[in-house]
Formats: sequence, C-alpha cells, structure tokens
Amino acid sequence: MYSITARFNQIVFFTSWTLVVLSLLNQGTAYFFKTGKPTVDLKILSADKFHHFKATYYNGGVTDWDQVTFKFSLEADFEPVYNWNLKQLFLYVNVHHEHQDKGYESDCVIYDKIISRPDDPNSWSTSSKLVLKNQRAEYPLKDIHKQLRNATVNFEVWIEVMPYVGYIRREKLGDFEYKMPQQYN
Amino acid sequence: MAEGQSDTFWKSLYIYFNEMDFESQLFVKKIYKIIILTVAIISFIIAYFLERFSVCVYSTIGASVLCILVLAPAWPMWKKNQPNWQQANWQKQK
Repeated sequence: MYSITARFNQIVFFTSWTLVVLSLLNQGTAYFFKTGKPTVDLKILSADKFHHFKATYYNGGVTDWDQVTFKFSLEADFEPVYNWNLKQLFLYVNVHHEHQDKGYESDCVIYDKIISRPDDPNSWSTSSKLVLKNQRAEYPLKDIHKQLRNATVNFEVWIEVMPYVGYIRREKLGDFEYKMPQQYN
Repeated sequence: MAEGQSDTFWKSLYIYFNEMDFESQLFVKKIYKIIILTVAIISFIIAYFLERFSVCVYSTIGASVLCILVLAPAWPMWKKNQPNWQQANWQKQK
C-alpha cells in the first residue's frame, strides 16, 4: 500500500478474484436447482426429391449420390432447462443410418436453430415452447454409397446448452425411426 | 531546457499522488475489501432474484473502478496524518 501502483494492483486483482468466485457460485446454483430433460416430439411428414444425382467435375471426373430433402414437424418444451445461467440453446436434428453388411455408419445434420432466452428483447418467442409445422429441412441428406432406398434411418434431436459461465454440454432429446421409400420419386 | 522542466513536472505529479501517510494506508487496505465484498454479495442476491447475472458483474466492476479512483491516488484527504520527522542536525556529523 506504499505506492500508487501497489494499491491499484491490489484493488484490481481482488476484484478479479471476487468475480471468479461469483461465477462459480452462479454456475453452482444453476446446476443445483434446475437440471431437467425437455420433452420433444418429431414427426416426419414427407421425404421429397428423393433422386439419384450425378455431377461432373471440370477435369472430367464423375460422382453420383442419393439425395433426399425432408419435411417435418417438431414440438418441444424447454422449460426444464431454463435457469439464470443459460445464454442460448442450439437445437439440431441429426440423421443416423447404418449398414451392417456394407460396414459403415453415417451422421448428417439436416436442421439447426438457435434458441435464445425468452426475456431477451431480440428473442424469437416469449414462451419456452417451440412449435414447427411443416418445416422444410435446411440441408439435404446425401449418401455417396446410394443405399438409401428402403433403408431405416434414425432421426435424433440434439440440444447444445450454452451457459453464461461454465462448460458447454450436449444432450440427446429423442430418437425417432423412419423407413425410406422403396423407389426414387 | 524546456524538456528538463516538463520532466520534473510529471515526476513531481507522480510523487504527489504516490505518497500517502501510514495511517491512511492501513485504512485504505481495510476499506477496499469491505466495499467490494459488500457490493458483490448484495448485487449477487439482487441478481439472483432478477435472474440476470450481468447486474452482479457490472456493479462489482463499477465498485472497483470507484475504489481505484478514490483510494489509489494520494488525494489530500489521505495526507492528513503526516509523521513527525526529526529536524536534520548537520552539526553532529562533525
């Protein structure tokens, strides 16, 4: 305390320490009081534009694949996850399909959405429920091995919880099976 | 010549704000912790009921800036209890 730099130094780092302790308390009380699992319901309405695509590169090479664009409806309630430490949620719908005899499995994200806090002024909604009706998927599902006809695919709804202070965790909310059409349409 | 004079101006300004007497140093050492801790605890409780953690962080940082402006430089209020220096006695060195 004998010089101006010593006093400045002590005040600044004491403040930093209190902020660290407050942040830990913030994260601790959030996990202590509210950890629930949101409910979600996903219905696949249609599998559109299910074709066999082909593309030619400028150097003469050719590649072909299966491609399909889905339309779905999704209902979810995020009330069990909301606490004062939550900044935003990142919701994404993942398609998982496996082929045992060919020996490969593949994951593909077809839709994602950022969900901010309900009391944020720029938020998408003021309630904690999400209702999507007849939503077209943003990204198509592609299979380079062309095994999508008559295949059983799994739709997984995932959520990524982003807090103000703390680590980011991912949670799987639900699994929904779907059988692809037999022929291209 | 002019450079030397401006050097001593800034140096003497630094020396003015640097020197604080000992009793107020003890006082400052106690009080900044008390101020920042009470502001942090009260704003944490208020922020918990308002469900906004930013209230707590901004008020703690504001309290620390206030402490830095008032307590770190040696204003005249911190120079009131000067120690009694002895008179220099040059004759003893003979």
